[in-house]
Amino acid sequence: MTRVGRQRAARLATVLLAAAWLLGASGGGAGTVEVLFSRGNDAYARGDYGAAADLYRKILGAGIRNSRVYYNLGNACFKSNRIGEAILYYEKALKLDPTDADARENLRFANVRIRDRVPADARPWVMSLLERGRDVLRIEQVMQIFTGLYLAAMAMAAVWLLAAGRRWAAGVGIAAALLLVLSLVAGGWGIAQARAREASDEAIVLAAKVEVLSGPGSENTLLASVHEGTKVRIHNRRQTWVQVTIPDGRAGWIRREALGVI
Amino acid sequence: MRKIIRRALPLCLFLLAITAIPAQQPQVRARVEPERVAEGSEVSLVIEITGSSQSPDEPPDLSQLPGFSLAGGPSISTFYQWVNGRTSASRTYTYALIPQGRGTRTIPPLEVKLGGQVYRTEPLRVEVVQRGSAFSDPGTRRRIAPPPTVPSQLFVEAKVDKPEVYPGEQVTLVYKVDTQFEIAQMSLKDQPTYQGFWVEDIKTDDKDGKYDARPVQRPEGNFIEYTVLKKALFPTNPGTFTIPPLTFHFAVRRRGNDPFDSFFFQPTESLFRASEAVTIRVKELPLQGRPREFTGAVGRFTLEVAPDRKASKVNDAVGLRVRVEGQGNVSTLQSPVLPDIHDFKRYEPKVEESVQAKGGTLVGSKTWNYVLIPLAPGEQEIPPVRFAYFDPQTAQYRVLQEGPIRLSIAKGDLSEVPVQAIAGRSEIPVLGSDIRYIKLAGMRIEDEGGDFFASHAFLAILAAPLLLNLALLAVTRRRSSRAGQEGQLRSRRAGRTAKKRLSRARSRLTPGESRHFYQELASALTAYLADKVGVPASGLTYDRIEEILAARGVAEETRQRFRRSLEACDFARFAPSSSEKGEMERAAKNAGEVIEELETAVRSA
Repeated sequence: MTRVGRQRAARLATVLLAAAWLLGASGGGAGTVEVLFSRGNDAYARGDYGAAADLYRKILGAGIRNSRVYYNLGNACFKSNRIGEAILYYEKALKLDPTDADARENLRFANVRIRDRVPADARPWVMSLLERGRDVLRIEQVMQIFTGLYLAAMAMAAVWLLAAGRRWAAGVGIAAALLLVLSLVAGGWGIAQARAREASDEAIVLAAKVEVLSGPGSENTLLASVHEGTKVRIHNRRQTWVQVTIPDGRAGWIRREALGVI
Repeated sequence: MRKIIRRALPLCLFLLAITAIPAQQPQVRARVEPERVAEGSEVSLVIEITGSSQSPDEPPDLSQLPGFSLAGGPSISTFYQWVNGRTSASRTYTYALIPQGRGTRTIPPLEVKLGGQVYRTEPLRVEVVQRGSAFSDPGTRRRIAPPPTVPSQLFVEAKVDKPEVYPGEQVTLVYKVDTQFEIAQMSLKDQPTYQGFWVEDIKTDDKDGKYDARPVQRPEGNFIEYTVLKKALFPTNPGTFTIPPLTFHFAVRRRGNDPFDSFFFQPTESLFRASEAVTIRVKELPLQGRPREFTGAVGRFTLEVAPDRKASKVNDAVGLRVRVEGQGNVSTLQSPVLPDIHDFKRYEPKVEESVQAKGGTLVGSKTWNYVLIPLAPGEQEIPPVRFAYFDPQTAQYRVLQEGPIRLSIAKGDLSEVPVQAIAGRSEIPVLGSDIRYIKLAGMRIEDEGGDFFASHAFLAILAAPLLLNLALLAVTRRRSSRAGQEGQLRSRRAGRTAKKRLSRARSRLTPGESRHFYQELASALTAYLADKVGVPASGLTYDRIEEILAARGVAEETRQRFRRSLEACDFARFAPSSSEKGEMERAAKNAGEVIEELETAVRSA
């Protein structure tokens, strides 16, 4: 009995440690970032969008990726009439926090104003439904759920092992298995989100107009031209060129500096 | 000699001509009467066919004659004559034509088919002169007595009161008939069309059907002028518009000199007259100074806005009457700009309209009756109602304004909210669009791009409890394996052990050893059961056995049999009567069968 008690205590400690870690303890260097952010917001409120954008960029330059900073930077770019950058930063904000309704709405608002037509979502409805379901929660929330379920499943399993032969042992075992299955579902969800977040195969055209060529090199045939704000999918990179698929499904090569990777 | 020839030549030619004309050759001739005519008057074209008793296959079709419009005809008359025993026939076709425009008009040669042969008439000329000048021309003075079918005592005139107007401004078109005849009947040859105009008829005859008449002096003499048609035209668009000529058909009675004749015998004559085309220029409405409220009203108007009461309750309807009255085309008036009235539900207005002609101009009123349902209590205000129009006389825009109107609305009974009041609640209007505002400061700005969930620390957190559980599993496995294995072994071997015990009991199957035999038999039964279910053999009472077997789901019959077999052994140990060899053998056999039965029952359970 004392052995069981010791194990329980150890497990509890593990759970608490994990929870503390999850609830946010990146720590260190706080303060200056918040000051920069609120100075940027002040500049934005004054209508000095250029200065606001510079301040937000400084935060990002310090290696901090934050959806709220990206969102505000998108707004500052939109107000300075840099629609390509605005769309890029809204996309980046959504990548970090797909639940942000503001960013989604502003992205839609900006996409209405670009030169090229955004084609309708042609994927099967199941796919878009799944994607929408994936973005219901932030990755941090999903991973917290996963960790909680996983640890609970493990605790249940331990109890089941210790209580072998007891009449209620079977119920505990079933509960443990159920929790494990749920935690695996949550884990899969989290992995899907992580994959989407880490993908870098999409980019926004930042130049006013870019030529799409048949190969990497200006001597190649001109296939099309795309305009600022259009989203393209990246396939290959070769020196200063990238191979992309433009919204109408055609593929071609674009100069790398004309794009901003999401 | 040359002189003689010169004189004789015409004579010779004349004689030649006479002999060349055959007596019965058909002739087709055409003539027009008169050859000089005032604009808008008709001429008669007469085609005469003589010398043939045959009639043409069909009368010449003159409906497409260029420069003329066919007003009537043909009327056909046929004459037969007997001269010196010879029959001659003549047939005439008479058409009423109205030349179009002024100047010389030519009737081209007309073709008449007679008995398979085509005859052509000579081309004819008609001179069309301005009205009134036809008979002042000295050249035509000669024709003082015009043929009776060509009267010059009837004229039709179309006149507009102004040649230049604005769109929507009234222009009055009047058709007048100047006549020296008594007009028995008048009709229009076709329905007039006025492209580019909104047309309102103005009555010209009084209730007895009499037209306004007045004597006029014309170069041709004294006439009576009737105003037969009056139209109020409202141009719809700027530009130059031509009102096409209108053809009238008259049946007239000529006042003869003979009173007797005029009294008893008054034949009517059919006459056609066309008016001149009238051109109206419609100017553009000035853009300068055009008010926002202007919706195309032209004329002179007054505005009146009145609620049917000054106080009401929530959900209790208030009527609002907006009335525009004045000179102009009231029918096309659009509603004055009713401002957005907050806290009121507004219904589509009921529109009333009345139009009448006053002294040749159209006046009228249009009323919009709105129903307003107050949605909120308090001192409510209906903002000013504006109506803009263009005054063509001063060529300026004017804006009329009435209001504001104050209404005091009392609180209504909440329980009796009508459904339409709920339906009247409007959506929040979209006034503009912009991106959503930035995120405000206040929360910590964390690095969300970190990959803690892919870090070793996180993996360690995940792995730790898993390893712990695996260790736990290993420990419990080992601990339980011994006990478990023994029990299983015992259970598996229970049948074999029981058989051994039974055979050992059989070895004492002699009457002297009956007590040992039954003891051996009873312990074989209980030991079997103990081994089979993994419980200690000691303390297995009948009730406990019953309980264990019932828990294993062994059937009632088998349980009973087991019990009886065990009871029999226990009883026989002390009863000498059962020490017979046959009895003992039966008991052993019975125990073996029970064990066999239990073996399958417990296994299958």
